[in-house]
Amino acid sequence: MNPEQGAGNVRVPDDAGSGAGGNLGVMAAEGWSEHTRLVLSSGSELGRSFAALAENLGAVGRSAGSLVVTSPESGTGGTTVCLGLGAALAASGKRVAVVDCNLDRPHLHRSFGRPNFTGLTSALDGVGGAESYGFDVAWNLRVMPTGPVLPGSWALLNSPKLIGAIQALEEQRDVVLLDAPVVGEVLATPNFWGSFNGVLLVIHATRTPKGVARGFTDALLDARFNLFGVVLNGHV
Amino acid sequence: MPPSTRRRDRPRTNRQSQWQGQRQGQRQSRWQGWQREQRDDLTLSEAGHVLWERRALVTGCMIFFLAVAVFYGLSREPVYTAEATLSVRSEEGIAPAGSFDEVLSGLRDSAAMQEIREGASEKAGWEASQADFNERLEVPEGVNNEELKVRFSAPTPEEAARGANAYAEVFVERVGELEGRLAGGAVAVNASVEKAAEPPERRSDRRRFLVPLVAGVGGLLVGGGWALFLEGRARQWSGSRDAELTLRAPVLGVIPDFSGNLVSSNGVSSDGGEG
Repeated sequence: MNPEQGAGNVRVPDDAGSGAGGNLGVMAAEGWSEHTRLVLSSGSELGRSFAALAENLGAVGRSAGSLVVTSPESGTGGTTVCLGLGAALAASGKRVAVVDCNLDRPHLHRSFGRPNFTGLTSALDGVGGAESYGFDVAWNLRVMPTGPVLPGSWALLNSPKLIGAIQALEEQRDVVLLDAPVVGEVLATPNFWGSFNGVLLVIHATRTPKGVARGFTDALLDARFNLFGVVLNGHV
Repeated sequence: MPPSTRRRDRPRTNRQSQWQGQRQGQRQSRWQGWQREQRDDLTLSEAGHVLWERRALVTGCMIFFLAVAVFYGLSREPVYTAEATLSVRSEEGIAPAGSFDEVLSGLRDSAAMQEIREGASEKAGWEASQADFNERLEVPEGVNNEELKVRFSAPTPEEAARGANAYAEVFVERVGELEGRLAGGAVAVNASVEKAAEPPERRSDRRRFLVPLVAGVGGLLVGGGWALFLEGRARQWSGSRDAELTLRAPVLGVIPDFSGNLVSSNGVSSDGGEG
């Protein structure tokens, strides 16, 4: 796919006013993976699917606030859903932030070919709000990587400061999408993840075992998480 | 941490706790009906969905069990049961009724009964073992209204009637021989064949219909159980309805597989499996 055709109606700040018809600029997309370009494209079938997801969230009154996006197992496409949903919500005029909360395995920055020098963890010690440690990838869509992490950084999830940092981000954004680790880890730190508005569970249409998905859905509800619903990713 | 940041953080802490309290309330109020449902039990719709999705497996299992049952039924010998009725009564006035029952019970337990069986087997021309003859013979425990119904089961109607009649005749002969010797001569017993057994017209092994029925139901249960087991381990989701029924949660979005659209992947899995 030609990167210049990739972004559909989502605009990045660099070329928002350039008359480029809402397509991503090549410079802005430099270093982005093909995957990321496709996901952030709102004109494709994929983009329409994310737009439908955003609409459905809005229809059930969940299109604002903080949303934890998790999955029963790794590799189901939680990050993809975060970015795609973020782009769809941004295209509908909402100010969106996508935050990588995978403190053990950060990967959001890789989608944009960026180093993980600053991000969520920087906001704990640095000056200024969490907002200032992210970067814009499209109009109204800001991405915040984890920032520098060390082995055992997951322990930060027990830190009230981290909750505060994300909640502060909510003051500046209509929607904050938290790219969370797998459900098992979310259940291990319920105080942290339970501090946000709700949970969206991502399952993969050809990878997620049904029994595992059902077990984790039950576990989330048993733990009184506000499960908004499920996203079926990779449907053939 | 710079002092300026600390100053900003301090008032926020109180507000955060209030905010969290409000959010707890919001979460409770937003608790949806589907989230409150009892989720432990398998519902009929879920089971029906799984069985329908794996109908080939369930049907195959049922057909296999039925085939085994039919083969078993065909390989079994047919069973015909004939019944002979004996009239057994005590001479009136000689002994009380209780003594009569005691005598019959004693007769049945005695070695004489085994002699009657052996005699009957010989008389019927039974070629198989005596134990086999005994197994096919059915003699009730007590005399009902002075009647003793003797049943014999065999592969052919004629053999069944012959076995039952042989036993009845030998029994009568044996009781005649014992006349006057039972209970020290206190009891006199008369026995006669009231109704001889006739070759039955129909087979008596009703289980030949029951076995396929049980096999069919068993196959359905085994196939269903297998289907549920496989469904729990399956990784293939057919669509949003499948996901909703399996997870009992609303599916808010279905994202298509776009691996075919990717020319290359830059350190990221190519089919939407990132993260």
